[in-house]
Amino acid sequence: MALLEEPDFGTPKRETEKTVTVQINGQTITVPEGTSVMRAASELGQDIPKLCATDMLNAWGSCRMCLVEIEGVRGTPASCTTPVREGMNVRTQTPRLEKIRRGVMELYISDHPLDCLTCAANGDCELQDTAGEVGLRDVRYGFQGEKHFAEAAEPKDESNPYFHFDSSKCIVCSRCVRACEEVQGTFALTIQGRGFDSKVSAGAATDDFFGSECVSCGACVQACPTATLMEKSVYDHGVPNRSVLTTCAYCGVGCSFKAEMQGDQVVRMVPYKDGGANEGHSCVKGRFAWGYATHKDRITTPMIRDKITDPWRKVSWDEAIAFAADRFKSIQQKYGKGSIGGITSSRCTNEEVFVVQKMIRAAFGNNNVDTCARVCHSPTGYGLKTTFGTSAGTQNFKSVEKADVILVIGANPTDGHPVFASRMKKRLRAGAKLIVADPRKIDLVRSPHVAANHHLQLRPGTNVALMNALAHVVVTEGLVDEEFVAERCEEADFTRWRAFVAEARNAPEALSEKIGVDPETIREAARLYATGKNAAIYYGLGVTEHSQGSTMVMAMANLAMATGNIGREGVGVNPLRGQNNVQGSCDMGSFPHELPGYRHVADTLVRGTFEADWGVPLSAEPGLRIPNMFAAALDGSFRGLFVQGEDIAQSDPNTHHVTAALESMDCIVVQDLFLNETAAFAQVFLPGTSFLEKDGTFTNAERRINRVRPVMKEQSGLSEWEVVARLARAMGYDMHYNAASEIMDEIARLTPTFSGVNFARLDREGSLQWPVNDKAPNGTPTMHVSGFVRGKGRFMITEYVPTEERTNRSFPLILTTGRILSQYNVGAQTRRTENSRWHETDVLEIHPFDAEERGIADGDRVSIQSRKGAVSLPAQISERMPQGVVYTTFHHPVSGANVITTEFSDWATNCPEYKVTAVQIVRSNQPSDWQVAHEEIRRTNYRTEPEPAE
Amino acid sequence: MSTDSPLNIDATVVDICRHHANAPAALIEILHDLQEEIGHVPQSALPAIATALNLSRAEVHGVVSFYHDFREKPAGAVTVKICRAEACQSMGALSLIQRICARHGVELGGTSADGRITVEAVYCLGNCALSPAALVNDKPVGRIDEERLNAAIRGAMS
Amino acid sequence: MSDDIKELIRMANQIATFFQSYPEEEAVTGTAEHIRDFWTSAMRARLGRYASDNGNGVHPLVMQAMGRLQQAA
Repeated sequence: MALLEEPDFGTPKRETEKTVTVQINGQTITVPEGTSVMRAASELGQDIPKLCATDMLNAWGSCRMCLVEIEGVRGTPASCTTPVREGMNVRTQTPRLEKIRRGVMELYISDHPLDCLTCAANGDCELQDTAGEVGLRDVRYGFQGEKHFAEAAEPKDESNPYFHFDSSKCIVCSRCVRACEEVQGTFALTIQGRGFDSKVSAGAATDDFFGSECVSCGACVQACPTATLMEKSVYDHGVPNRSVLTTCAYCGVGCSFKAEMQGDQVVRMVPYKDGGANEGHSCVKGRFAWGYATHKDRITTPMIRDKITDPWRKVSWDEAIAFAADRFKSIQQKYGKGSIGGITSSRCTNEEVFVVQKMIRAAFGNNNVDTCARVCHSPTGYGLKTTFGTSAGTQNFKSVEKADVILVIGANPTDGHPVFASRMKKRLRAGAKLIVADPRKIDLVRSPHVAANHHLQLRPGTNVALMNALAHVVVTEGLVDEEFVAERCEEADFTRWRAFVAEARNAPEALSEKIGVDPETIREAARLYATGKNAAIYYGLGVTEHSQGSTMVMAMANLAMATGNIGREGVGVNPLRGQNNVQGSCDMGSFPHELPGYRHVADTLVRGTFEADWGVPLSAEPGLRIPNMFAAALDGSFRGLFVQGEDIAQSDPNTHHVTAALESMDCIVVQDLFLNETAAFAQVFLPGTSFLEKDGTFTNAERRINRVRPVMKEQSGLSEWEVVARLARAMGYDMHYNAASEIMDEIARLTPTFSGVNFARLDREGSLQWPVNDKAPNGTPTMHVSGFVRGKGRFMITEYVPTEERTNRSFPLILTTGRILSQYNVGAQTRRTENSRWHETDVLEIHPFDAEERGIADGDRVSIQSRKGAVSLPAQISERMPQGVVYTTFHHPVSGANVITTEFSDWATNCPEYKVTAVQIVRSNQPSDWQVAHEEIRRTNYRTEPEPAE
Repeated sequence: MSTDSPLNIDATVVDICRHHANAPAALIEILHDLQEEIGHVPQSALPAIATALNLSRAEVHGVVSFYHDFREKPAGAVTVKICRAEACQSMGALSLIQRICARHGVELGGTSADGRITVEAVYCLGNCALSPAALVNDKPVGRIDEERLNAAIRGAMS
Repeated sequence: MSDDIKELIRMANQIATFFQSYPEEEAVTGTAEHIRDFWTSAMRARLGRYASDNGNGVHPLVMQAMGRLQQAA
């Protein structure tokens, strides 16, 4: 595809049913009421010259380029700030307008450097384009404007690793400042001074971009019409000349991007305005942190070895695949069919995940397939399926624009899901109310222009108690939406639930001490949620990663049903998915008990359709989940594992236990980009593909199936699905596809919720939200609109059961974990980019009182000890933490956060209880024993045989 | 006048902001109060103001830098504001400004090295009938020439 | 008691703890169905053997559920 230049209509689209018809240059157009004259003209294909206007931002009216004449109106109003009126007759091009525009342009150019040919924006500059459009031929004032000379003498602000700021090229249109406010919601930029001294400033006078509040989302760079704010990659390589539309491979928001290329080199990633998930916005990861794809650490040749202490030997694909298949087959011969299995990855495409689970079910002949969603959102699947009937969130992201009350529980959207957070913050600035339930004072609790109405700073592990207390208030204060419940929910279950939550022991007053939140605050929050019109719940891993994760998901579903907050825009129960394709990997049958589409393996009818299509008998027995796999490995019954793009040795809890299990296995095959922590225990390494090399689909948190398109050839020479198909064939099962699209065709054929999905349609329509089938031919933005998927909604009794992980005198503090904006998950990608400049190391956040009690100063190295192990990290004293709770992130392998986490897990799904670990913190100036041993493993288990000399 | 160690400034800022109920809309009044209290609005005060009002540092900086009246550094013992709007200009204000600045060794908009005097331009004091006009420590003086203005300055210094 | 069986008992007891809020019949069914739907046959057999051998430390609902699963098998 050539360079995709999206039209810029100048001002945002208005969303109203009411329309207005106007005449522009003699042509008639009907547009929604409130549309600007500029946009109406643009929709007619008659663009009006502009500089300060762009359709990502509200009209500003400062550049005076877009003037028009309107019949019966005096003067020449700015078309961006003038809304259309019925019957208006507009002229956009007259001798008078030409003269004014040219005069204004003369003033701009009199104080702008004329280095167009050597400017980084040459060919991609709106000032240049507009000067051309208005026919600028001469500048009567000369070109010696003081401002750009003075500012050109100052050094450029190069502090941000990804873009530079060159004030001498600035025309002070304020688009960057407005983008930071309106689109991103960070308010990191301003115009300092006034008149000729006006200048864009990041933060205050003493800040540069890096030191300011800037979060490097790139919205300002995208908004800048000149080379003032410009990607360094464009500066280095020149403007791109072709685009490939694709989907970001970081978090579950699933932003659409234009990969802008020269040849097979990515020059920049630009968020796509037509992308349903992000509507033209991005964050520092998706926008800038893609350099890992060509990082020197990438392994692109298959490798094998006999023992994990041997050096790796580079081999051909055929040899590696034969080696892996032989080992797997001989394990099965010796120990039985069920002695091997595999793990799919939520980082991979639906097609890649589908073939791995198919290989396991059809070629391995068992159901020992699990996915990394086990350790993040498996309770979401269980909880929402039990109550609503489907394992997915209820809304699209756009829905937040209609929410009046937003309840955020156990999620930190500004760090974990930044692009959605920007949409949420926009709604909050427009007046929606906010309740945050989180032990930590996350940014949403208070950051410029956003403040939570209630921060329920609960103790980790008391989520269910809190939900029951909120529900108690709803039920006992007459706040139940009786009509909704009577019509839409199972009566007997509701009656039982109502009686349960109404019990005095579930009152806020009774539970307040356990929860650690004042009862009146809980009551007010419950009233606000129940009576504030559209109330929407957004939640993350702070909900699921608990021993009562599934109970908590059901408790939230109960609350939403009881208050009628399901089945329309602006409401719902919305999981914020951690990884790009968590939803998809679950949909694709990655769980050991479910075939694609969440249908139990014991269902004879469903299994029969798969058996007929795949031509093999399939097991009707649920297989092993990840923790069960580790246990079975330790007892010797499970000996071979295929791991697709997941680093279980780093990301799964209780590292000692996990590594002991991995060490006891006979054959571990790792398919990944890098030699990750798990690869230290592997005998076969199959190089994977980055998202820039993949052809397929990702499904985001709103069930949106987005296309992922390759911008470059696979660095390893093979697509991941092809590698899996070859391995399946070597195992004796004939799996063959000519293209990824054939895999999607098979998914659609076998999965009723996907029956209307195919690549051609996705290419045509952009994206589709499942279910897409005969009942919902155009997909399903909002679920459960006229009835629940399971028929009637089912209230579940959610007794609060404290976790077995308890604090005591030896382990008096609770450790909980989370994420940070610049890094992603185990950091395999982001650590290999400049993003590490924002977060070079994981730190332990600790309340000042807890720190003082232990003689800990900010920056001191501390040892974190749990019943399972110890690691050491630098301490950061932080008022964000409540007393008694400490916090860390898990982005760096050396931190070993999972050395200390426990084996406790969710009762229904075995999702690990990452969020509650009892610990003690002491000062320590050395790495822990584990960290020392880890260094040793890195030295011994990562060696590669030297290349033979030529 | 308080000393302006960062801690003291932060405490002063917190007090002033609280007095205005931490309302973002009161930013300009808060800046005036701070300047009244400590004589200027230092950059070091901006983070505390931003935190109190739940604004970004950039926003506060934008407002502070927009108004010339907010000074970043303490003023001299005497502050002279000379009008250079149309009426006063036509009555010779520009050359008067030059001469006064030269006489006291100060740049327009700055403070003399000895900290005794600050000279600033203003744009109309509403005293056009008595052009050229000035304010010496907020006291209006009209129909000024170099000597008259200097006398007022000396008076204010003593 | 091996770590492995301890782990299975804990998992099963956690399941029973969720379902014990329901009337007994429903609670036994819920527990049994959950174990049937999500556990491998080897895990079920192992816990089943332990339950019929002595069942120390096993939640009463799990004992009943295992009995029911064994009958069905």
